[in-house]
Amino acid sequence: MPRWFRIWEKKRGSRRTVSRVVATVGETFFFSALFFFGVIFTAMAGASTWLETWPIRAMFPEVAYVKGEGIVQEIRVVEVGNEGYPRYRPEALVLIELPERRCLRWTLRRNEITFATAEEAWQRIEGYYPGWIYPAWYDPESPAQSIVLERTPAYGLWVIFLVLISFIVIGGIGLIYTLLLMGTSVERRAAMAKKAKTLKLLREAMPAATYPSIPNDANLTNSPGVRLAFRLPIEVSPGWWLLATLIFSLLWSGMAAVFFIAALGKHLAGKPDWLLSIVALPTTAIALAAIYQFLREVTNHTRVGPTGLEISNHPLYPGKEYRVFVTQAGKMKVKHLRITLICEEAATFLQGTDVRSETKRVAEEEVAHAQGFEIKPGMPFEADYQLKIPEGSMHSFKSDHNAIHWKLVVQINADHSTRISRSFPIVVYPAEVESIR
Amino acid sequence: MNLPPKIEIKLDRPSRAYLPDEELIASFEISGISPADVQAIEASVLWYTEGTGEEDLAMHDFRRLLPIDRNDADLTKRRRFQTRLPRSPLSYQGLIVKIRWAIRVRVFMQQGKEFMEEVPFRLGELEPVVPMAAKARSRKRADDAA
Repeated sequence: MPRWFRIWEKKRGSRRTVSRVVATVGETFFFSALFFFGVIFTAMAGASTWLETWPIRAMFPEVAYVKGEGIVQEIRVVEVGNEGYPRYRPEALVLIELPERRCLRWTLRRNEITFATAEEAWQRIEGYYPGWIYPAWYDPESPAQSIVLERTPAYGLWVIFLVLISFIVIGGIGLIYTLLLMGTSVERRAAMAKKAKTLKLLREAMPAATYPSIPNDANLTNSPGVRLAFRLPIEVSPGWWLLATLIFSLLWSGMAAVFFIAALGKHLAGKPDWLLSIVALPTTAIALAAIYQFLREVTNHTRVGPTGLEISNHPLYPGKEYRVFVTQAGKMKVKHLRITLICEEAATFLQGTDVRSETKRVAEEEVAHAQGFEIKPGMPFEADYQLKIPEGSMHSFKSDHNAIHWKLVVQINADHSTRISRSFPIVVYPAEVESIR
Repeated sequence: MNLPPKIEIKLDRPSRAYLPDEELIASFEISGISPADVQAIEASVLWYTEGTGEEDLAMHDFRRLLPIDRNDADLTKRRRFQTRLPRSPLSYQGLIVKIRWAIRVRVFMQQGKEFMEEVPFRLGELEPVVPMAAKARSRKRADDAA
């Protein structure tokens, strides 16, 4: 069967299906359209506001209002709405005296305000007294229909201007960026990016790149060990996993309880709802499993206690030997304790609109294996082992979408089905230049 | 019909294998076009990734040559350049991540067309990664033979 032609898709390797010229033309057209739309409509809106003409005047009539003096003749509260939903509107009868005529209108502000009770409406209009003169605004073209005692700010107008100006900014920046990159090769862009990184300010904030593309190991060497030089940080704190299990089991159990009680109620009332019962059974089973898993995690963590891993040197180099010191606290009979050195490749890629990631283990070496011992409270298990990074191994690597990670994993298999795995990232550098020459 | 230009890139080592911190000397020459048709030439020493993930690319050395840079304005003549290679990343052929080093020469023509030629080389001496299952099988075979 023929494959559908895809407009933009990564092919195997480094090539793409689309024409770069078409992509650049498309981007230029899009940002130009955005920019010119913004410019034209901002100019129109600005002119319309300045000259007080359509369409701004139609949307925000108050931009054309002038200030005058209004004499309050009377105040009242009018019942509006209907019987089921009564509402109360406060109003004042305002008189303005213009040179050529007098205008009278029941008003307060342009957008009507109503209240649930008459008391609230009277409170709102409190402060306006018949016979007193107050500032009033009106449209000079139709004063009798437009008098207001309170002028409302035209927030909507500012929002319109902000949106239109954002079109200009986004379109303008996008257009400049596209034009700058037009006819620029990927190599030149990468060189520009590299040059930007060497700017003084950035250089001061970033570590010296003696080994480019190797992750920074500052976080691995800032904690001294008790027995060896450095205490390695744990990859994911067990507390976070415990919290995640707790939240999931609570949420799911709550939902399952609702289904279960509803289904049980129907059965007890003699009107069983079988569809509800069918849904409730697996939901309840999952809730029980989640609670069991949470309790097991709690038991594991309270019984197993913290794991500490110290290392004699950092960074590490292929072919060289180091010392590793492990401490394991808790209260348990350990069947096996295993320390493994692992190297994994990791890649992230776009699949449709999703960002996906994949990992592949490429090296796994057993560093240590201890079995059949007991850990008692206050007497942690402690042991010293030799670690050798295999000769000819790839170093740690990190780029935007690809990585090569090294880590030490401590796995414990104890009584009562207790199994726990804790991971400690390390950084491996390329074999020292002198040694490979 | 205009034929594409021939871009010839030569490395100082026929093996195309280098160690970190070593000097790489390369030269390139363009034939089959008139020097007047060349708008610019870019020569770069770079690495890029291949495999499952999106491609990452980073530049180690980049030179852009314009006709004004040479007195005779002829960019097609053989030109030599050298660079000290970095300590990382090494060339790597993994299972889902691959790192390739290469020298690329890109020629920009006055009419707007561009042509590119790339010559790969190796940095470091890492062997291609063998899947763990295959590694375990070969270990078992060795044990059985012993």
